[in-house]
Amino acid sequence: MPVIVSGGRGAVASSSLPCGGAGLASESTGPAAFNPLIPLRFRGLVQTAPQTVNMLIMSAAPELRHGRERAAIAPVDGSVYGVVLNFRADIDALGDALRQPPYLAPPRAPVLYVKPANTWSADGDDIPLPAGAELVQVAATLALVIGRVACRVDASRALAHVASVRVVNDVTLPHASVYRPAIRERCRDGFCPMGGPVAVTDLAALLARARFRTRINGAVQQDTGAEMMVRAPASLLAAVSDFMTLLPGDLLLLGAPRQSPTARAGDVVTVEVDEVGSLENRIVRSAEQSS
Amino acid sequence: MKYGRVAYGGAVHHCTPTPDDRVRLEDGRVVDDSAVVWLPPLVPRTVFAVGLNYADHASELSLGTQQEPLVFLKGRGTLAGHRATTRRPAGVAFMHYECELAAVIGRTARNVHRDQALDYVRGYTVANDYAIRDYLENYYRPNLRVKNRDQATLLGPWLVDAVDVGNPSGLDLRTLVNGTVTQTGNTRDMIFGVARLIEHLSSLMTLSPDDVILTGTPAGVVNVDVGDEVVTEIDGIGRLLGYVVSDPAPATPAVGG
Repeated sequence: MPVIVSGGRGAVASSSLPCGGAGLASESTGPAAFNPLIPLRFRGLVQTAPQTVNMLIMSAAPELRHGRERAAIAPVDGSVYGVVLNFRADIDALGDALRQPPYLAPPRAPVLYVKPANTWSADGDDIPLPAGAELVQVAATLALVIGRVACRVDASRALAHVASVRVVNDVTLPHASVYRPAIRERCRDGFCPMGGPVAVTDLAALLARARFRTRINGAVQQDTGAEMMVRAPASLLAAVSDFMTLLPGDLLLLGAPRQSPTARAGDVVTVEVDEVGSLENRIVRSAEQSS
Repeated sequence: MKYGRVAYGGAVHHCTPTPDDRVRLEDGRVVDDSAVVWLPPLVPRTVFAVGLNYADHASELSLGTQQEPLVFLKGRGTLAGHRATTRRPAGVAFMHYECELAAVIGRTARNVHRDQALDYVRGYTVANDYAIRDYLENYYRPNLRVKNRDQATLLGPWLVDAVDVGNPSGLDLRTLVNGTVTQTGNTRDMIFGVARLIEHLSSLMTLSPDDVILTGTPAGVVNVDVGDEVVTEIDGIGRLLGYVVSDPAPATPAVGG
């Protein structure tokens, strides 16, 4: 059974939780409390300060929760990396363009980007449309939260370096070219809503069967899974760790197709990953949009 | 004032320089600068880097100049301090340093005009932003495999208060490899100066205290090898030393699948 740990500033009152957090204190003896890969910060909270920690079991079929209270974001204790072109559909769509200028050759190593701190937000936060934009692309994905230093790890053991997972809505402005880093498109304020870390007992099995669903106003617009990826999660983590060390607390997002659904002002976007959880965020016009 | 951050005696300390180039810990102890392990002078929040920001370097790379700054981001694993060792993967042909002025944001900035932008700078430090060009690919270029290597972005030794620097344009900078000058330039030759970079970035996103902007490097990047001592220095800001070391594990080809 998955367990959500939301601690520190991220703790929310159990009365505001959609499924209720009361009566679940016994869960503090569950896998999260003893998983050595859970960052010490969370373990300490679980073990010594249960009053600041809510642990709850998410419903298997989350419903839209319009108007639910805004949750503070669970801490991010590292860098957040995303990956583009990790879906076979993206490679197929580019086709021969991969060998034409400006790309000249298909990608060899994973193509990464950084989601900086200004993008980090929580379940329930508004996603502001940047000035001049009418549409954003939204996509459910999963973040692997590194629990143990991952340097040149083998794919067969890569997932042992993961402490937990978090549901993420990886938001971007649509962009046709992947030649230059997409700072303008991917790094806008509020463009990375994240759920709290969830400890998983059999991560490989979960990743193999998990569906990453993106809903707009309740209707499923995208449904992806590891079988659609160029590199499955363990291989991706291994390939990244081949050229840069991932540190405990870093997040590696598993990516989304480049043709992810678009949303506009007023739309409510839900991202959900089976057995992990869901996020619900509304697209809003920002104050600067009137200019 | 100048501020540094070092490990000494089993703990991390903030420190300041003495007139004779020793290190004064915040508790008053004075120690030799070789007796400490230097860390970046701050723990950055977001690290921005700017490519092709000197016209001479852009032409060195056979690339035209940009309509807007070429910005990319760095993660935390690439950061290291003064006197850091940086691994050169076995078998690569072209690893080079980049001497850069780094501006540190001091207060929240959003939609700041260039005329006010320098008011948001807390201070400056020196960066050496290594690249391993063998790994360049044309996707989100410069890709992280080139520019986000472990301990390949050196910062320090000192964070110098902005008020003590004044105008960040007009600073001479240079790189020395094993004592020989290989790169010279002046920050006035940036295509997008510090103020315009802050204007641009803050038009896209909210900048926060401890965000760091690496402002690019001029012409004169050359290959460095295992055993080389690399000094990147900017007049009035500091002299940042680094060493290139071997990598025990050969780079393995990253293949799809």
